[in-house]
Amino acid sequence: MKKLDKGLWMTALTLVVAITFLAGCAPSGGTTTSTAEQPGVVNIIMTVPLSGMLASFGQEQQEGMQMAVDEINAAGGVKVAGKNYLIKLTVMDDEFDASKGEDEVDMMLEKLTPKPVFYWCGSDVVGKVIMDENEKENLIMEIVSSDKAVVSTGNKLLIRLESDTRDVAKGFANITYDDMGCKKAIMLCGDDSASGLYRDQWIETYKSKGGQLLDSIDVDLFSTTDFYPFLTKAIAENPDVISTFASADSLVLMMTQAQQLGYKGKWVFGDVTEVGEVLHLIPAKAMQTMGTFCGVAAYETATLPEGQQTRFRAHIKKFHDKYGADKLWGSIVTNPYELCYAFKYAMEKTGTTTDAYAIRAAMADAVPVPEGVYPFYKINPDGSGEYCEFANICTNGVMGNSMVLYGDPSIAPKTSE
Amino acid sequence: MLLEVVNIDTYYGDAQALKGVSFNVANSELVTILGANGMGKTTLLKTITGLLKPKAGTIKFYEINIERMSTYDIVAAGVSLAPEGRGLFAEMSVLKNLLLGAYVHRDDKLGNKEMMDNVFELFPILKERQHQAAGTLSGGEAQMLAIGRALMARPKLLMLDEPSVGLAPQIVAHIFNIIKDLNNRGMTIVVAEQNAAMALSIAHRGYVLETGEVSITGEAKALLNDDRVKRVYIGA
Amino acid sequence: MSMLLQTTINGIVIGSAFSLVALGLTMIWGIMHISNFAHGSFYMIGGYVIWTIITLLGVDFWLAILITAVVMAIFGAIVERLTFRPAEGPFSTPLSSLIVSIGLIMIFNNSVLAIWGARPETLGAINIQEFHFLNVTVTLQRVLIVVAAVILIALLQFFLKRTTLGMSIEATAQNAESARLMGINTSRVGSIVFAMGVSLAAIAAGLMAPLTNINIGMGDHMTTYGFVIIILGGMGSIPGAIIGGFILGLISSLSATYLTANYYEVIVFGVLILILAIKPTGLFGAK
Ligand SMILES: Nc1ncnc2c1ncn2[C@@H]1O[C@H](COP(=O)(O)OP(=O)(O)OP(=O)(O)O)[C@@H](O)[C@H]1O
Ligand SMILES: [Mg+2]
Repeated sequence: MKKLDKGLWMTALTLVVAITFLAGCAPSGGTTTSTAEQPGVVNIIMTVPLSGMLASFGQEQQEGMQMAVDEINAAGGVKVAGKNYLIKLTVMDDEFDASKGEDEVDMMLEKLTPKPVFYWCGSDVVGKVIMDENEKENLIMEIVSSDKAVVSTGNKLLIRLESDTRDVAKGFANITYDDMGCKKAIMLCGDDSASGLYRDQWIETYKSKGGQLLDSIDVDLFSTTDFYPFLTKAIAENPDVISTFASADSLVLMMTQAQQLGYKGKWVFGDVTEVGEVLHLIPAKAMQTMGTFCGVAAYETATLPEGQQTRFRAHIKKFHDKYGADKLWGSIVTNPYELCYAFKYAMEKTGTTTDAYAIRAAMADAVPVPEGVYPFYKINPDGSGEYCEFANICTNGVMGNSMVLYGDPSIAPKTSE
Repeated sequence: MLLEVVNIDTYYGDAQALKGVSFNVANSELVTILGANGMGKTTLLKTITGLLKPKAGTIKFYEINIERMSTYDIVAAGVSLAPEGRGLFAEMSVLKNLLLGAYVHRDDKLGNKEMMDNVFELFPILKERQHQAAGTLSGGEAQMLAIGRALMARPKLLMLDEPSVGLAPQIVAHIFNIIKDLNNRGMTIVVAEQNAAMALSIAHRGYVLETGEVSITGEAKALLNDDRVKRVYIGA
Repeated sequence: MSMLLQTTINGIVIGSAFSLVALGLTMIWGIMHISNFAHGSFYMIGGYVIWTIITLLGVDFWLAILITAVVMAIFGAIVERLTFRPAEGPFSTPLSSLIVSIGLIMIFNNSVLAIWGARPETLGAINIQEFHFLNVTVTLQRVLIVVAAVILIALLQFFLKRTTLGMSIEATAQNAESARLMGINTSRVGSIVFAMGVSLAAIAAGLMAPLTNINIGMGDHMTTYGFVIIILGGMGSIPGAIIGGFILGLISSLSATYLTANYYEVIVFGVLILILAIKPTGLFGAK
């Protein structure tokens, strides 16, 4: 247990340092003796998984938010009622642990002055336990979740990003049948509940279109020792397409091995796999013979109507300059980025940095924000957010045009006043 | 004294199996440990070989304390035990059993070869059976193998735990002849036995164990004539 | 027909890995009477170690396997010395080793997460030359897995039967007390066997690594299957582990292809129960 203890100590130490740092910073923002030129502070807090399985997911959210904060502050901050405010972002690693996230939020609410009004919750397990508290705390809360139980309840300060895997499944089933022209399919996916949700919806939609489902094979893709047995069975049934729901690494292995076994059909991925990532992983030599596959497209690879396309490219460049060219820019990054701007505009419009209800109501009018690439285009009265996801078909390494998987990308941007 | 056991207490958990046992063996002696079932003979031999650790008392072998030493060091020092029930490696051949007996001399291939020839001379049947699995030997052959295997370690002290058990009388007599013969050639031997008459007929001295204590000890001849021994162990 | 052949070949490939894993498990059980439920975790760590050696040091695959085998043997010996060994002693119960191995699983999983992270790793294309015959595909790596496993099994057999150290291991397995009376240091034998078992699991992981990805969960099945195999083959039996490994490989492959991939574990356990009903000590079990 030595190693664990060490980890715990390190975490504790980091926390202590963080607290001391925050406590030390707080007075400078909260002192009332500040001169008129000294800007005020608006606190945004964020809990996301920065370690463990979902670390990259959490990191992307953090980067999206941080980029918006840096841009806003560099441009002079938020102007509310004639006074300038800088946004201060505090991010903590919730380790995808409900009680840890809850403690962190409590701590940040207690320590930070002025009291934060905007909280970005990147783990639905944490969201579930805090969701009912945010109104009491006068806290606008954004929650990312694919869990219907989480996203269907709400309050006036909540914004929910419903990344419902079933919408994705519908989209992919449509594309498989309509755009890829595949009439005979095999579903090959993981045996976990998330995969099951996707699988059932995909099959339902595909069949309702007239597609023929040859077989549905559940495999524990994570711990399976060899994909050959499942692939041998799948390929023997001679499908046009194999529909999967697996990580990019597993998929590339499966695709390579299926090709070895003589498979010449197509592939459709779920939203856990990004086409660009698959392209990165396939050896260049194998690319020309890889056949056709379709998956969620990062915005890099998305091809959109003119005008939007130019804005896209500009954003991607900004992002790459900041975080490195190997990063993929998708909705996980753009959503916090755009909502941060929405928060800014809402404060400026309502003239308050503390009235959470007013700010939250104004955020609905602020989206899509002019700085955005507007995949996040709407906040419904019930608090649910709408954004776009795209899919790309890639044939032998050549990426085709993007298609809308769900959401409406044609909403025109508003210009700031 | 070659072996000097002084006031040994040995326990199985909380149960005391040896109570202040003292016991010694001189060079070239043949000593027997007598006792009925469960009196502590096996426990004493296991304690000497380090398989069991005494809670109190000392054991000296060549004036060196061995009561805290590991079995493999005690065996290497020259104590060899043919255990109760023979303890053969049943799935291995007779030959391999013998080779394992010589484990402490594993680098002396030549010496082992010589020793093996001696053992085969002593027990010609083992030579015939050398490729057979030890588990398929008859009772007598198995006992011979157990003794032969113990000899392969070239011991300075050879200990045998009930070599007569389960064997026909003429085979017992044959084995005891060999034991006596080995002793005559200078080998120091300890034999634990229930068959007191047989054991005392070849031994120099004997110890009688009763519920973990030495009750009688003396010259073999004296013990043979001791009334208590006669009554209880010889049934005369 | 070609599908049957393909499926059989698939089964032999997985069976090779299963055999190597089960060999270590059965030896550890036979010598030390430890139910090493952390065996699959050693398999997983083996996977990460070979990945690290190949990606960081750029070493050739086979040299990497060799280094992994040695590194993991040392690691296994250290772990045994620090955990299972102290758990023996006068107060140990059959539960002691169970508790130790469950503790190890947690430590290993968390350490691997801390060191390598949760993202699965892949080795990329290694020995992907394909052979096609009778409508069947085999890649070079798959052939090599089987060849390597067979060579290892033969070497192990030679080691156990023909070397003094090997014989002392067999002797300890058959009768530990007698082995001690022969002058064999049986706790050292225990360390060696544990190290070998861990090394075999790591080699299996290394051999399979090019076919699948390396992740935290890769060893989970291996522990379960390893125990199924050694129960099926007879606890402590080496031929049982080898034959059992291939039997399980074939069962899992055949049932995944011909019956239902979704429930092939049910079939695996069904076969186990069937064999135990006919022969309660397993195929090669004593008594
Ligand atoms: N492993 C054990 N655990 C607990 N008690 C034991 C154990 N082995 C022996 N005993 C006890 O210790 C005592 C002495 O046993 P030991 O085996 O030394 O007797 P013995 O004289 O060799 O008997 P036998 O002639 O039957 O072999 C007996 O009461 C026995 O029940
Ligand atoms: Mg006895």
